[in-house]
Amino acid sequence: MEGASIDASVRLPGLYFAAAAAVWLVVGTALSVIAAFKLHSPAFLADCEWLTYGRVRAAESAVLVYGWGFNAAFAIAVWLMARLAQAEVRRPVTLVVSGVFWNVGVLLGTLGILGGYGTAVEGLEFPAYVNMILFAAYAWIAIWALLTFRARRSPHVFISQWYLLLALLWFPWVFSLAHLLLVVDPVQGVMQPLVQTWYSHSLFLFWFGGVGVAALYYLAAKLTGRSIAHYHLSTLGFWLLVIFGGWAGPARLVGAPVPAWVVSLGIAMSFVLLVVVCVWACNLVPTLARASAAVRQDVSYRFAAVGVAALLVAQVASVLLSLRGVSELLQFTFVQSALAQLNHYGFFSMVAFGTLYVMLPRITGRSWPVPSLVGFHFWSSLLGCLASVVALSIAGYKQGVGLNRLPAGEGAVPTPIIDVLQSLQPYLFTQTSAMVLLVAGHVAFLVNLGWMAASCCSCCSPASSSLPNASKAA
Amino acid sequence: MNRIALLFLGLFAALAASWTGVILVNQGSVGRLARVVDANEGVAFPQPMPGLAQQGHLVYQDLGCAACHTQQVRRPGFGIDDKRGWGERHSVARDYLLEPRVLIGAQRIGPDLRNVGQRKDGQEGRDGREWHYRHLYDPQLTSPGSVMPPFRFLFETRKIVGEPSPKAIQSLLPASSQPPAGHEIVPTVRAERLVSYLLSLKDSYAYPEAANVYVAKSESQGGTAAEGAK
Amino acid sequence: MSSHDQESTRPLGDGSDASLQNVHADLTANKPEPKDGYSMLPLFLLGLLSALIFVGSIYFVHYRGGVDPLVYDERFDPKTAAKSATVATVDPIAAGKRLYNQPGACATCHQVNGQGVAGVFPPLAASEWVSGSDERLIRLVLHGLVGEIKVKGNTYNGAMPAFGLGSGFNWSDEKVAHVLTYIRSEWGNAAPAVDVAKVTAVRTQATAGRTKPWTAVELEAVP
Repeated sequence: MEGASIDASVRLPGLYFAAAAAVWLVVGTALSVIAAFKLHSPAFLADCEWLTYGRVRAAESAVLVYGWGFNAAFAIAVWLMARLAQAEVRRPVTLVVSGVFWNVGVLLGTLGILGGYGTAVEGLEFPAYVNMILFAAYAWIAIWALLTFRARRSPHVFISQWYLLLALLWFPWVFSLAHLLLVVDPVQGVMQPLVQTWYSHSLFLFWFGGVGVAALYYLAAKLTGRSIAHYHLSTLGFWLLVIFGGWAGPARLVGAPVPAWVVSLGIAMSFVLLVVVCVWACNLVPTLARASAAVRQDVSYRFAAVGVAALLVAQVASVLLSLRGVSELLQFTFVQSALAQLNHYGFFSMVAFGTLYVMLPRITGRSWPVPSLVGFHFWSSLLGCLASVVALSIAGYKQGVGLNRLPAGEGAVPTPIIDVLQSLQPYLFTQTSAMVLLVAGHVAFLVNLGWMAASCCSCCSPASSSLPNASKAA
Repeated sequence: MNRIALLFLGLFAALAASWTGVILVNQGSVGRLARVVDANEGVAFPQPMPGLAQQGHLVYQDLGCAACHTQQVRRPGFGIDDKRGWGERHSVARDYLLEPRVLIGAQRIGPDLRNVGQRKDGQEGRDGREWHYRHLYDPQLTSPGSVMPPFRFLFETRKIVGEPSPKAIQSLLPASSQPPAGHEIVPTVRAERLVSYLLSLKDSYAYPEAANVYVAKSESQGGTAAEGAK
Repeated sequence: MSSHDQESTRPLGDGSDASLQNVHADLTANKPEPKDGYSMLPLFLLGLLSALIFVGSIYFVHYRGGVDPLVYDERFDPKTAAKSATVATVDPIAAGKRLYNQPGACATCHQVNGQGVAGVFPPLAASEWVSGSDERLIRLVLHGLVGEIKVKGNTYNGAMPAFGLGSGFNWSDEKVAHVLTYIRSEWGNAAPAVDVAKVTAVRTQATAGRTKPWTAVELEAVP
């Protein structure tokens, strides 16, 4: 089977999901800027109830997760499934239809949060009815990806496919269970935070982690043109992740009024995830290190390399942060926000950018209209993410020391919380600037993508299905 | 083909195991906690929130207050929540038993609010209500330098028709925030509910499990000896 | 390191997805032969895995908090901790007073001040029945009383309902003990408290199976 006809079958859904993702990305980071700005200038937009800090924060994370993250993951999952199965996606229009439902759901949900109808459950902020729309749309998209897998022509199942299956099968379970237990018929008392951490941890580890790692394995092999180093170890990492990963969520609840043993168990399980991190490192780092000088100039390669680094750092950091001694100091601080950003932006988003930069020229048969915007996007993402994570980490450390340690000296009283927050202002301001940089990069990405989509759509007719130049690279 | 079946089965087993271990086991114990009937007072704790406070809980939820405020007091020695006066004791699971939406929070950009009803109770004016109105109207009035945004949209400036409202708060505000002549600033219903909720936040009852804290060896021996002497 | 890498990855042929699958299928089917230093990696990972599982188990056992849903302090062990902390103390007199004054219960007839109503309901204050044998008193409250009874020289004729488990009031043994302790210490009475265990013993052993109320004559036969 020629790669070209497979790519052509993904063209419509791939372009649709990528474009929707890019739009949500700009919206989400714009909301991040508003929220970040409010942290040092609380009077900013304060009279607008729809944009009060708590709602903007909730809307921002929901848009970045369900708007940007899921659309990008759908695009990547469908394309990778088709590519690795060497099978065309049948009836791609149905994927677009369910994609429209998904995005209408996200839009309604975001407006719902801003309008004050959110559930206030972290990770499931959308009003209850939106989750139904999302679930139905998801089911359709996932079934399509699984059908493509079933129609595979290659007997071997590459490790990327394992991770994609993990993501596609795990998400509906945790999502529907969390929806039932938190939104439809909430469980009693502190069971709620317990279910919530179980859900959001699973979401990031198995859905975003699954799709992101799948894309990394594929990119590493494809970009360097070589097999994955120590490939036989990859399944070990996969199974360890599957077996131990789901237990580690409650480690976030150190010190909370939940039974101590669940938290201890979560921390103990997260130790084992360090082996998974080692396997990822052994597979991905040597493979990427074999790239030729020409490949190293490629923007996808760069995004992938940043993604691997962020993945490894974030996973080790999350194990360290869950230790009780560290948690005592850094729980409830901006360090947790920095970790979330490293995970969702440094790892997943970078990998998604890298994959989209490989995928979109192939499925549209066009090269990027403005190559300079591609470079600008990479550098603004890298610098913005780095600056934001570093600023938040320093701010969080200072916040933790201020909140949780008595100043030295006999009979010292705790530093007032207002003074602690005031001392963070320079770092919070740096973070706002970093977010502005990110928005600029994302606008560049959106413009480039929109241009590409427009030129692709304007000349795409059923007759001209023979694809020019770029797709030959496959 | 067989390996794929194994893969599906393995995925499902792992999911089911973590679900059982983390959620189901706890649902059977923590999820079925009952209220404690205090035999001396003849009352079950925790007590239900007053109706107005329950509505205020929804306001707290929809404004996203939990983005900056936790509602969980950590035990003495683990952080300094006790020294900050955030609670007489650490929070326990039973404190949250009757709350429809448990908002323990994950960020402390502001103080913990689990016992805020105790802190501001009766400090200024009638049961601390006025302090909260001033604070919500403009946090800089009560807490200069705070990064909390003002919640002016919870208040209404309206023309005085007939008698001035007994709830009007402009007398609490500085000269720069005074409404035009013949107008008054009154808290909206949502502000009243929110403040009722905040004032209801206090975990004062000492549940037996609140005593389940580790005591270093030497102290615990001293403690039992003292009890034995009684 | 670099020679090690060369052995660990292979070129993907023409770079297509088909060759990607074929090369990796081959890698899975035929594991690369262990050369010097090459087989160290799986061994190292296996060692790390066992070490981390070991450390994790120690951590969990050490900080399991008795696997008790009510323990929030991971260092607390319910087995070695002082028992007294977990037993809630109930003041039987306060609890008994509340039961006594419950609508429809004792105070309805015997009155809040324990004086009863002259000629209709006997008094409890300074009553020889109340301060006397607790065995009789427990039976009386558990199953009720019918017929004539002589209290402080006056004869009353009425009926008292049963309060014990299984009766209309369905009071637990604790409640019966509490209310009896209360009436035996109030209004100038100064008889010893009634033990919950004794109530349980009377209900389950001495009078097991009894459902009908007592008569004063029957009770007087009880020591």
